[in-house]
Amino acid sequence: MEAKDIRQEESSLVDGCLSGNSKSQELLYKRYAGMGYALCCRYAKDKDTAADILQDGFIRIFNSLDSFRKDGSLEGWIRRILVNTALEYHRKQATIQWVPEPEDKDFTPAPPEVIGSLEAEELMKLVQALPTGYRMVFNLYAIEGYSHREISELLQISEGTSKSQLARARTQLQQQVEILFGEKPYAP
Amino acid sequence: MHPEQDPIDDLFRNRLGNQEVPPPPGLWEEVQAGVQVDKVFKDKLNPFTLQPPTSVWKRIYKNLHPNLRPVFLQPTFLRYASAAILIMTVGMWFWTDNEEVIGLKSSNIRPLSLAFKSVTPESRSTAIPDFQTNVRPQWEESAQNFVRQTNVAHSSPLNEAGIQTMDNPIQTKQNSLAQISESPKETSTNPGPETAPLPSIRQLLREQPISTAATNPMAQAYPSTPALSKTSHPAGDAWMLSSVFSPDINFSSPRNISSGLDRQQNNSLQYTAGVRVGYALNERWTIQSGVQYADQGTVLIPRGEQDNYTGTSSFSRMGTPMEVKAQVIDIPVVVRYRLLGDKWRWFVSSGMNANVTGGTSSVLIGTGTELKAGKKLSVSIEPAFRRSIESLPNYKPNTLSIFTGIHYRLN
Repeated sequence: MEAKDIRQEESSLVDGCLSGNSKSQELLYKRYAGMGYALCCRYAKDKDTAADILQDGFIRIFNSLDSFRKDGSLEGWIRRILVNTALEYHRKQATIQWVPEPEDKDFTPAPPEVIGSLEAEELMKLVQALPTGYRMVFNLYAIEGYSHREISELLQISEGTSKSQLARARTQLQQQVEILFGEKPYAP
Repeated sequence: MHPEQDPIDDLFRNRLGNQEVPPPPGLWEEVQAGVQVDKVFKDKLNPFTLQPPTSVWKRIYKNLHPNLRPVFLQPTFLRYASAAILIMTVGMWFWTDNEEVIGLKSSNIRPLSLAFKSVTPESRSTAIPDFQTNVRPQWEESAQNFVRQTNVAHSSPLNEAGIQTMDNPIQTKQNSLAQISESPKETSTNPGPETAPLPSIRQLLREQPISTAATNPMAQAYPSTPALSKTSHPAGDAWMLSSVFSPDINFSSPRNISSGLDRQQNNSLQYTAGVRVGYALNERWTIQSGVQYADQGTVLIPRGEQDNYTGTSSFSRMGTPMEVKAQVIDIPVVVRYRLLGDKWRWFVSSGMNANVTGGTSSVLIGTGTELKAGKKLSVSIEPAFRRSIESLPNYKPNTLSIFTGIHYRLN
């Protein structure tokens, strides 16, 4: 399907949702629920929390659909709302710790190609295992593509804190992969 | 010289401004590795999808449409359900009319109430001539035929009545059902002495209507109003909680007649009691369901068939046939249509009783009246006829019930 057709389809879907059509709402939800739930799982510690964030996020999406400008990407707009909902959830719960954890200097970081051999589900578990601050910054910077300036504004931290949290997150991820492969050494 | 300029600034600027210091070894590799780590996670996790639990959409939907009821509570669905129950009831009523029960055509079934009028323990043999001279011989002959045919495989001794005194195996019991159901063809060619065709239930009901104005004291006391007033009747969308109680009178099978005698001797009461939840679809239609307990008295059955009676049945091994207490739990689904009245409401009702404890399910037709006794309270009386749509071996109770109810409006 061409991009123009997708836009048209999305536009009619949005119109249906705005008129209160429950079928359109369900269709829109089903189209983006898989992407949304995976996104929420990356920001949440467990699946139950992710489901709560997804629920709140989609309610917010349906309630503010009239502010969506149809010339943009609907998926991108939905992603942004879900990310904001996840960040808001953590702000409300006050679960983010910005104090860096003590670093273990005695480990050999796993090479990126070894990390690349892992499945998406395994990578998801590694991200979920990160401390909340590391996880937020890593998700925003590495996966969503936000800049450190944007992250600092979103999370109300300094850019330096954002950078250091990102560096620590990367290190911890590589360390976790190293531990994961500790019992079954990878081929260099 | 500008007061803020100092020569030391120039010194440091000239010395350090363009100086290059090589980074520590491995830093570039670290940066590269970091970028690659990011890329791996981005490439793999960005397109990755996970299906959320189905409960998430339900909760979202409920939040978006807080006033929307579940499908099974929507008025349209309930109207269709009411119509379906009504049609099924009428259909089953006619369908079951052609069935034969325990070797007797339904036209030979006689209401127990006739026997009650004159029976005493002393006059038992004369009070029910039909049972002694017609029904019982037919029943015993059917049983004897069955025993003769199955006795080849199971040489159990017979008692005087021709009933096997040992419990039959399950397979034999299944055979017995088939045999007994065939037996009326034999007995009908050789009827007992002084047989006269008994009136059918429907015939009797036509002759003695249960709840016409002529016989119904409530109808005489409170004649119906000609026009429907809409002033104080719930205009639909109302929930009612009801408790019902009904003394019951069983009709139909010879075992019931026997049980009637036993019951009369024991002075035990047959009754139905239960609770129902009702929903008024509009001013006229109401649908009710709930759970009710029915004590159908004592039934006499031959040995070997006792396993067909489950639930709270209890058995006495004294004498032949055996005694079974029939106590069952039903789930009624009843549709009620208001005909007339405001404070006194007159209605007809129809529905089904789904049995859940091994008894017989039945269809129900009734008519009655309901009196508003307060803002939310009302009482009712409703004579109803319940007709079994399935039969256990030798037991198919058809019942006249006088339902009395107390109803409380919940909203």
